[in-house]
Amino acid sequence: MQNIATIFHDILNSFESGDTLLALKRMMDKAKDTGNSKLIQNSIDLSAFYKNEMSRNEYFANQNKEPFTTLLKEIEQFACDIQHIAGDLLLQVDSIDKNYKGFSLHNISFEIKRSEVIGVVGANGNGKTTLLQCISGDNAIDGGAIHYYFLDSFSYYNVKNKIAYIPQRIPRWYGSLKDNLCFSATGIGIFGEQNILDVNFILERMDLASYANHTWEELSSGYRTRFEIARVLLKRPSVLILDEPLANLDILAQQTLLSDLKFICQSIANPIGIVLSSQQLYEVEKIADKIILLKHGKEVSIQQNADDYTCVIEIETKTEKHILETILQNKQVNISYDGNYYTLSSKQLDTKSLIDYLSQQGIDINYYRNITHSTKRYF
Amino acid sequence: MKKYLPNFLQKFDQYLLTHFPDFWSTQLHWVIIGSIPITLFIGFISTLDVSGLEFYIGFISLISFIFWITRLLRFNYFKQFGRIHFFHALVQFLCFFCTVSIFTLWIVTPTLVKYFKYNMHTVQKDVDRMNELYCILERDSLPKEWPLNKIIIYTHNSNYYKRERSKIINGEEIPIEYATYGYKRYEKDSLQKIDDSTFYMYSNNIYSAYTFNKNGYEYRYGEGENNDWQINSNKRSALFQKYIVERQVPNKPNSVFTSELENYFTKYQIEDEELWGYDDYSKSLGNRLNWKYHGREANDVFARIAQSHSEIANILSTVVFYPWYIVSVFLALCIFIYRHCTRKVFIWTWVGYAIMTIFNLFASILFRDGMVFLYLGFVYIVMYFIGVLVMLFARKANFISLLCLNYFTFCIPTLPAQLMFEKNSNWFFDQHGAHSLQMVLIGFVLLLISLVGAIGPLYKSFYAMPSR
Repeated sequence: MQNIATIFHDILNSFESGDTLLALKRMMDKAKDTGNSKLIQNSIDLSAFYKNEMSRNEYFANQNKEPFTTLLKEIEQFACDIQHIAGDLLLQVDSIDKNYKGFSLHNISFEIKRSEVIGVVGANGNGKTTLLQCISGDNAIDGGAIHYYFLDSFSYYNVKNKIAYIPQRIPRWYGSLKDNLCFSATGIGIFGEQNILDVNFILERMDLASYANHTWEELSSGYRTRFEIARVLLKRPSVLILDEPLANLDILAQQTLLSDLKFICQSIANPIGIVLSSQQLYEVEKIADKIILLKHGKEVSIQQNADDYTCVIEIETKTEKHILETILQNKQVNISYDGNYYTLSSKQLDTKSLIDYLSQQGIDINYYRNITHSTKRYF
Repeated sequence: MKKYLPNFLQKFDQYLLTHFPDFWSTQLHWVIIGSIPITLFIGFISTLDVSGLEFYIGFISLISFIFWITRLLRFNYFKQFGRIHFFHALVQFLCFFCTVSIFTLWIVTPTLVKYFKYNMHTVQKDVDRMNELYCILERDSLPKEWPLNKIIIYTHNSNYYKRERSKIINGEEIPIEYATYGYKRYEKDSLQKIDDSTFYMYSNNIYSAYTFNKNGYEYRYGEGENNDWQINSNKRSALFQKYIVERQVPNKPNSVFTSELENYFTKYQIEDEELWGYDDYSKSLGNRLNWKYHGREANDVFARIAQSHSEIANILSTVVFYPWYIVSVFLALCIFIYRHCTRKVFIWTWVGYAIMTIFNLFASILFRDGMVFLYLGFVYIVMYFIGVLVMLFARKANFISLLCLNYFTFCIPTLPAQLMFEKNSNWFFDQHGAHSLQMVLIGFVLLLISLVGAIGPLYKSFYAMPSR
């Protein structure tokens, strides 16, 4: 966990280097951490102001840094008093089993701590959704135990109150987006002015402010996902579970969402644990602190298998497989081809050496990725 | 749609949303606001005595109810797993009950309007006066001698009265004061109030004409012809005296009385329409009066008025209260249950209900006893209770237990009435309905207590349980 000064320094750097939107979001998160209504309101207003001006003049933020830096300093002063509560154990999944319609989830164990992101990956039909539903209390477990450390007393209603589960197919809602958000916020006892402040904050933070009065039909699937995340975040959950949240998003939206999730879970005052499943392996791996790979309902131990090869890379080239095999025959490199990419695995070479060697041999590589520590290898 | 509303209403809505979300989600505030102009409109229309009004109002109620349901289903505080306060289930049910009550009360509005528009005392007085006017105008047609041995006395507390009054209006039990004018004047020719407890009427049957009636009057059984209830001849004479005085030949021209009669026709909007049943004209004095003085139309108008008064008078008993109460509680419970269980369980609740009803019918036919329904009802209640208990120890949501909880919730308001019915099968049809009203109210209170103490917490616990 970074200290407060470093965090604020990073935010300022982001702003000065032109990542204005990112800096605004992080500034808002920190304002929220302070719990000071005035600062939160100011951060909302400032964010809206910059976004509005930047829509007219792209370089506005570079030319007007003072409002941002002034507010950031104010927030920093308040933030110094915030107590870090990251790292607490939230939830422990202890050797759970689940049999459902001929499918079996067997002996899954892991822990979730505050500020931690856990990625659940695996091919379709390998138990990702079943596992998430077991954690969220939608599925009963047949064996093992799930310990919810954030609950004072166990009841499934309390579990569902404190765990926010966003299914892959987001249920339809009615009425305006803002009414729904206000309504959700009241669910945990946020009433009156505080309710409106929280809703305005989340609307601005999730870039939904201009859609406040929109209905379900008027939103794209990407914004529906954003709305759902905004809705559950208003309920201040301890654990946020997302089933394939990236499925309906374009590349840019995926990046934005993942960075949002990362920053939200790393809140200083209200850090939460996040569990998300996805087929976008590389994207998830970028933000996840831990990856759980499921295969046929069982957890695959990544560490144990990863010892086999020192280097595994994925490349895309127009060179034919037999030419690659000829070039690499003396290097003891295992080559596999899935129709799109070649996967090269070596016990002798490291990534740099392997890429250098291929370049020296005149192989034209369009794309490459080091997947030595990625779960992609096990698909 | 909200954006088209005045700003203060939008602010009010926003205030309720951010302060009382469970109340706001029921949309009761919009129902109350919307019902004010609609009720006023219905009230205004009701004063015009439009025929078939109840049908149109029923249609408006239905449309409003459906519209409200579509709005209601938008937000559900319970299913969002928010913080549920102790009285949540009670508040939700009461909101649903109030809303449904408003829609069902619209249907009763014409009755209420008529009640206030036509004061019963005035109507009674007018009817009496019209009868007198008929008698004055037709004085030459009236018999000169009263057959004193043909006077019949009806009393409120006699079995005979109960039997007799049940014949009055399609088998419904209507006190004699509220018998339709049609009965009073057309069927029995006329029933005229002499004082607070005395009526006299003349019949269109020449052989039993001039039947007199007195509430709680002294009577004896078994005297006179045809075992009629006979009045003590001394008191009977006193009744005639008044009538005879009134039917003395007046000292004013007939045109004065005709004009007065016309005023009554105007007051009660009695139309000058072609009369049917002309063939009856020659048969009796009553029919002649009807034909000549628009008696049939008057009958219809006064029948409606009298019926309205009858309904109001019995509003806490059989005619209005029970249907209104049963429909309102039933619909409110349906909505409450739908809002607190899954759609699948809700649908299967009705499928199961249909299956049980068919089974009960077969059982009734098999045992040739209608009481089988009641006995099976008790068996079911015990089964539902056990089913609910099973769920308390279950690891995941049990479909059958959820059905049992739904059925049990439906049964709670009827439990006291069922128990009393079992104790005394005749009890429910007690003439005053006092016991049944008590049991219905006890059932309602029991439901409210259960919502707080048992039903609410059970739904909260059951709905959140894993479904698989």
